[in-house]
Amino acid sequence: MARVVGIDLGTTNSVIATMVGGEPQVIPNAEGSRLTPSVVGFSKTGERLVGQMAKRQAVLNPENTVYSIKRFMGRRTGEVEAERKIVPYKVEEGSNGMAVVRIPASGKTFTPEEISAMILQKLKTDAEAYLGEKVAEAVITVPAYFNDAQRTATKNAGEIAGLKVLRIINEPTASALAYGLDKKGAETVLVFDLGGGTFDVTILEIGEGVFEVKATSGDTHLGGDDWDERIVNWLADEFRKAQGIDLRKDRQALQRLREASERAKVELSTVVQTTINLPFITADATGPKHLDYVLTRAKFEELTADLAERCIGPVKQALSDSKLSEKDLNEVILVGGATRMPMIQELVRRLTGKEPNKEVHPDEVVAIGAAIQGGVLAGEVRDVVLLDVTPLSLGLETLGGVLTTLVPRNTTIPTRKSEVFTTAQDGQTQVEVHVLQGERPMARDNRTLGRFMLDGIPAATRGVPQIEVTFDIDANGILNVNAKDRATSREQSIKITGTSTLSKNEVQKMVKEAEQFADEDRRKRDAAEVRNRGDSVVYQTERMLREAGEKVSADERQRVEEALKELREALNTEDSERINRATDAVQQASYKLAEEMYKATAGAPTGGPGASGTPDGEAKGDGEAKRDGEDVVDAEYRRTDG
Amino acid sequence: MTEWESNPTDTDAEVREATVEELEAEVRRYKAEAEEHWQQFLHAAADLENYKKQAARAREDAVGRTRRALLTVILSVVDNIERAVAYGGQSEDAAPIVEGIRMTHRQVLDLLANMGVRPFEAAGKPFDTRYHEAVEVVPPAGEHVAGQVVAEIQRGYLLGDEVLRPARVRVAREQS
Repeated sequence: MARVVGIDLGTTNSVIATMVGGEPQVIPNAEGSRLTPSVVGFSKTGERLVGQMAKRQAVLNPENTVYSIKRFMGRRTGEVEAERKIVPYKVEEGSNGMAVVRIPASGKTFTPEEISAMILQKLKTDAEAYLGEKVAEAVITVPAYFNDAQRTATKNAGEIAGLKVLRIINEPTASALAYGLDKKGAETVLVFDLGGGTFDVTILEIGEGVFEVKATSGDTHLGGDDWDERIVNWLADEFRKAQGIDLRKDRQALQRLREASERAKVELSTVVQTTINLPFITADATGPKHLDYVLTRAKFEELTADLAERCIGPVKQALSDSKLSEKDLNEVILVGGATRMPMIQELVRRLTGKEPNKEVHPDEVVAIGAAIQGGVLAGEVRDVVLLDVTPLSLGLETLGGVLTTLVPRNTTIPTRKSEVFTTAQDGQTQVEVHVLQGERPMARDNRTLGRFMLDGIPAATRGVPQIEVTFDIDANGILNVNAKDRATSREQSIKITGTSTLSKNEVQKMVKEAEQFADEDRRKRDAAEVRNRGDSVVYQTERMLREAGEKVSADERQRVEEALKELREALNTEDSERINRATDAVQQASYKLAEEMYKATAGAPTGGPGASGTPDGEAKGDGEAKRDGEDVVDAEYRRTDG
Repeated sequence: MTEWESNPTDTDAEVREATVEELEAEVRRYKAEAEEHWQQFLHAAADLENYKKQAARAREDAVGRTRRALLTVILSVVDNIERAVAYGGQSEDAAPIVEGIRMTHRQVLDLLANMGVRPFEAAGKPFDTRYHEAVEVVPPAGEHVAGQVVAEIQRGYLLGDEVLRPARVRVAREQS
C-alpha cells in the first residue's frame, strides 16, 4: 500500500508528516530539516531550486525567486494588487484573469499551482527517500478562509506534483485533529495561528466528528518576522547612538544583526533576559567596534507591544462574527512558532480566559493533523487492539521493607517480567513473597495484593539460593505471581485479579502521594539501604573471622571485633549516619584482616558470600529481567523456620 | 410403545445431526476468530518491528541534528576569533596577545577537524547553492566574471562530506 501523507503547504514554510505505527510523525527533508521554506528559484541555466537552496540564491536572483506563492493561489490579478507590489518577482495576468508568475530565467510564466507543485514535489520526493517507499496520496491543508478557487488551485497543485489529493482540509481543523479534539467532545474551539508572516484566527464548532468553521479573521501581514525586525531596529538605533554608525547600511552586519535578533527572540521565550553579543560587528578609523547589549523580556515586550495589540482585533472580530463570547469557548489552540512568545500566550489567556493547548509543536501541528486525517482516510488507523497499561507499579517486598518494582506503572500489558532473588539469612528454607502495588519506595506504604510462602528451599548460606520470581499479567490485568527455587524446582504461585479494580481517583491519589512524600520516602529507603549494607558487612566479616581462624593475630582480631561490636550496636538504633560510619570502620578493619590472611595463605582467595550469586543460572523466559550474580537482590524473606 | 421405541432413534439422529451442525458452525466461528486474532497478532508484531526501526532511525536523526546544532554554535565563536585575528593582524603592534588568539584559533580548528569539521574555500568559485549563500551582489569587476564568488563573508564548513554551514558570500552580478 502506497503511503498517505499530510502536508501543511504554508506561506513561509511547508511541513510533511505521515502516520508511522499509528503515530503521526514529521518527515525531515533531504537537508535534514523538518521545515522546508516555501521558496522556488530558477537559475539562468533553467535549473530549479526548492526550499533552503532557493533561499540561498534569493539575493542574487530576486526576479527568479518565488516566495509567498500561497498569497496568489487561485487569485485573479485584480484581487492581489497590493501583494503584487510587495514581491520582487513579476506577477502578470494569465488566462481568465488569473495571476501568473513571469520567470525571466526560463522565459515563460508559471501558474501559482505549478510553483506550489514544485514545493509539493520536493516534499514528496524527500519523503519517499526518507521512508523508502512511494508516496502517492496526500491530505493538504489550506487556510479556513480559502475560497473554492483557492482550494481547487491547491488541489491542482497536488495533482501536478503527482499526488492524489484525498482531501483538502482547513488548517485549524488539522490543528484540532492533532489535539484529538474531535474525540474529546469539545464543541467550540478557537485556533490562534501566528506564523512567520501571517496571522489567522478561526472559530470552529465540532460535533459528531464534523468540523464547522464559524468565523475567521486575521492579518495577512503580521508574523514572527515583525518581532525580529523590532529587535534589529532597536539594536541598530542603540548602536548608532553610541557609535554613530548605522549597521543597517552594512549588509554583512545587518545579516548578523538579524540572526542575533531572531535568536534573542527565541531565548526570551524561556528566559527573562538575554545578551546580544556581536564582537567586531564593524570598524572605523579608531578600530574595531563591538556590539554588546542586554535585552530584557520586559524591554522586548515594550518594543513590540503594538504588534501584540494587532492580534486583539481579529480575535474579537472572530468572536463577534460567530456571535460568541469568550465564555462559550471550550478549547483554545496555539499554532505557529510565534505563539511560543510568553506575551502572545498571555494575550490569548487574557482574551479567551482559557489556558491554551500548546503541547504539540506549533510549527508542525497542522501537518500532524493532516497526517492523522490521511491515516483515517487510508484506513491506516485500523481496528487496533486496545492495549491496557498497568495503572500502578507492581513489585514485592525485599530486605529492609523496601519495595522492589518488577513491573513499573504505565507498562503496556500483557507483559511478563522475572527477576532472581535470594535469601537473607543462613539456613533459611522458606521465603515469603509479598506482592505489592504502588509508587512508594517502602513496602508498607503500598497496597498489598497478596502474599504466599515458598518452602522446602535447601538450607544454604544466605545469598546462595536462587529464587526466580515471575510476574505475568495477561491482557485482562490478571496478575500471576510465581516463585520458583531453581535448585529444587519447587514452585508456588498466586493469582491476583484485583490489580486494575482501583478507580481512577484512587490511582491518582496513590501517584500523588508518591510525589508528595518523595523526599521523606527517599530518606526511608536510603536508611533501609544503609541498614542492609551494615547488616551484610557484619555477616561477611563474621564469616571472614571464622574462616581466618589462627591466621590473624589476636591484635587484629580484637580490632575487628571491636568495630563489629560498634556496628551491631549502631544497627540497633535508627541513626543512619552512625550505622554508615560503623560500617565503614568495619570494612576498613576487615581489609586489614584480609591482607593478613592473604599473607598467611599466599593467595588463596576467600570468596565472600555476595560473590557466590548465580554462577550458571539465567532467568528463563524474559531475558531482560535476568540478573547477574552481582545483581542478585537480597529479598526480605523472613526467616520462619526458627 | 412401538412409537416410543422407534422415535428415540430418530431423535437421536436428529440430535446428532443438529449437534454436528452446531459443532461445525462453532468450529468455523473459532477458526475465523483464530484467523482474525492471528492477523491482529501479525499486525502488532509488524508494528513493533517497524516501530523499532523507526525509533532507531529517529534516535540517529536526533543525535545528528543535535551534533550539527552544537557544532554550528561553536562555529559562530570561531567566526569571532577569526575576526579578532583579522583585526589584530592589521595593527602595527601585533602584541603577543594576538599571537595567543591566533593559536587559540588554530587549536579550535584542529579540534573541529578531529570531529570531521573542516572549512572549505569559496572565493573565486562559481556560485553554487549547495555550498554558498548569497548575501550581497556586486557588479563584476577585475578578473571576476558574473556568477562568481567575489569574496567570502563568512566561512563555510563541511562535516564529513556534508555541508555543515554554507559559506556566506558576495557574488558578482549576472548580466540580465
